[in-house]
Amino acid sequence: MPERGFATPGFLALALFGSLATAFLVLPLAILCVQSFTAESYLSFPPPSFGLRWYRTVLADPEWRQAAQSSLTIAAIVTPLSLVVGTLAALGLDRGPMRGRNVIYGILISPMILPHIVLGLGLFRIALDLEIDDSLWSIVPAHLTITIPFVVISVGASLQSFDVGLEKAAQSLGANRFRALWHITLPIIRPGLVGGGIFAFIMSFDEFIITYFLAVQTRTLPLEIFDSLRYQVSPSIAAVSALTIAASAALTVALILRGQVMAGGRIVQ
Amino acid sequence: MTAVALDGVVKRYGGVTAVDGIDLQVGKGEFLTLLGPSGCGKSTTLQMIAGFVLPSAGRIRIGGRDSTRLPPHRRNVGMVFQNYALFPHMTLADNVAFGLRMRGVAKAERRRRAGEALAVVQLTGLADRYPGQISGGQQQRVALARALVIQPDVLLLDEPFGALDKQLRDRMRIELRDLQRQLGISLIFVTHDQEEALSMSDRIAVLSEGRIRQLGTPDGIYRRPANRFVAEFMGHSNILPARVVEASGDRALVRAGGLLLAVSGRLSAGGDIELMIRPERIGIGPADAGAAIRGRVAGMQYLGASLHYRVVVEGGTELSVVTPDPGEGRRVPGDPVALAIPDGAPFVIGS
Ligand SMILES: Nc1ncnc2c1ncn2[C@@H]1O[C@H](COP(=O)(O)OP(=O)(O)OP(=O)(O)O)[C@@H](O)[C@H]1O
Ligand SMILES: [Mg+2]
Repeated sequence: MPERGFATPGFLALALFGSLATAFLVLPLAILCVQSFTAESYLSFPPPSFGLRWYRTVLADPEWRQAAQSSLTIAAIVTPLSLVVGTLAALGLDRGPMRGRNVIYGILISPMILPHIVLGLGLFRIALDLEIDDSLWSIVPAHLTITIPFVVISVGASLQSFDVGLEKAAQSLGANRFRALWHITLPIIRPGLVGGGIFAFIMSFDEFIITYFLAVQTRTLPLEIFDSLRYQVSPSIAAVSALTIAASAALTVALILRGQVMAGGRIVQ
Repeated sequence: MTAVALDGVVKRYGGVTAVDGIDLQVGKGEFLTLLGPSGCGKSTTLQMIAGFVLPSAGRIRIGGRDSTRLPPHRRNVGMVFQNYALFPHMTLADNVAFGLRMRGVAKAERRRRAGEALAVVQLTGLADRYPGQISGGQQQRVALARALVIQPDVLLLDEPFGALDKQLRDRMRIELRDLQRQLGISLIFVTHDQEEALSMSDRIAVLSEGRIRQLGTPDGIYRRPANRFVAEFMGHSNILPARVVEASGDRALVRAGGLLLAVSGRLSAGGDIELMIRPERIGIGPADAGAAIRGRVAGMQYLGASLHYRVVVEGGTELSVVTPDPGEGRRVPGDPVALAIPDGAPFVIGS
């Protein structure tokens, strides 16, 4: 095939379409972020004057602080639990018998495709019967149902390219199965673990629908944003949103940098 | 002293019998090769010795200890994998030291012994590299050093040179053999390459279909194959059906096609036997009227150092003949030639 430049009409059309789509996705976020720096008491674009007023308000507000704290707490419990359970499940699927593998995999990741409203309703029923609604005892397991699939997929993908011969080599050198896993497998599939962990954290931190079913007194950040939107649209919401976006973006950048570190550094095979 | 002893070892996978009753003793400091075609059960046998595969029947003793059901990490067995299986996230030094670390050896001591092991395989100076930063031949040596540093009761190698080019393979052969002698290691080597087996081993076990077809020294196996399978597997051979014409004591006269040959072995007149003559034992020269065996060249293959002729002799029998390349005076197809089969060259298979 002859080499072709990037200036073909088809390529330009594609580039234009891509740019428009990206702008459509990013612009609302950008506008929101700009608005959050308003010094006025109402939302407008562009803001007549800029300041950190609403950030100060939000960071000082006990309700926002409380909500942020419960969201962080929940995510901080959910993330390691998802990693342990999801990694064990991925290992079991990878090493276990072929029979039934696809079925079990399908069941494990089904919460990803189930509508969250259905999932939330089901979990709500169970939590009511067990009288654990409106507590970490129901919210954490509920979040796990949606975060574990991400870990299973991410770790499972890493295991696909992992050479089981390395574990055998470790065993022949005197490592039992656990130590082989700990010293050899886990370090090598670390990109999958980190990726799955970050996904799990973001999914839990962002989760709205299922939590909405279960929480009454408990306020998470997404619930708080939703509630405050219902009564008033104050610039504080823009500030909270901007902070959330910044945190998510920071995590994502960390993820990408991590991937580059892994690919460009030691693991070259 | 035996390093490893297999006693009636069997491995079945469902209906497939991968290993079908192997008895084998590997002496301390011995280099033993399991040789056989693909699928004959070499790897399975090795995996059972390493502990990754449980035998369906039989016993395995390693270093005087019944190890049949011991998990791999509790056997003191070193293993070199075909793809080397080096840990990509560890430096070469850490790779080599891994076995010592699992044995609870202190860090400084580990470092020292790993350094020594790397020196033995001539890789001093590369200790802080990662496996992805060295060549295939070097990786091979690291794998060797890693398996040696734990001072295993036996070292197992499954087709370790398969991924190397011919030159490197030849060099590694010599290096491995020298190292094994120098350190007095007991070693089981798996290959399907008969040249590799012949050039390195103290003894060779020729396997087919999960059984040992012959166990012996390279010379014994090459020159005195116990059966047709071994005769054919160990390099080129002329295998001729023959009938005993005359027998007295341990000498006999046999007829194979148009050839009348003297052989040794206690045979009875009138019996049918199989005769093996290695192609390089047959002499080839210009046709002359007085020659005992005359024939015509049917084909010639140039192999660099040697020539491989196919000669059809009187009576229609075709013989392979290999001779060093004389440079000039090569025979071409159609040339009449005389063959000389010296006394002792024909071997009665199984005698
Ligand atoms: N896990 C398994 N399940 C079923 N059959 C197996 C298994 N492992 C090996 N076999 C069968 O056992 C036989 C011996 O296999 P093995 O790997 O020991 O052969 P090999 O001599 O090492 O061959 P190669 O030279 O090709 O490596 C083969 O027929 C193989 O198909
Ligand atoms: Mg094999």
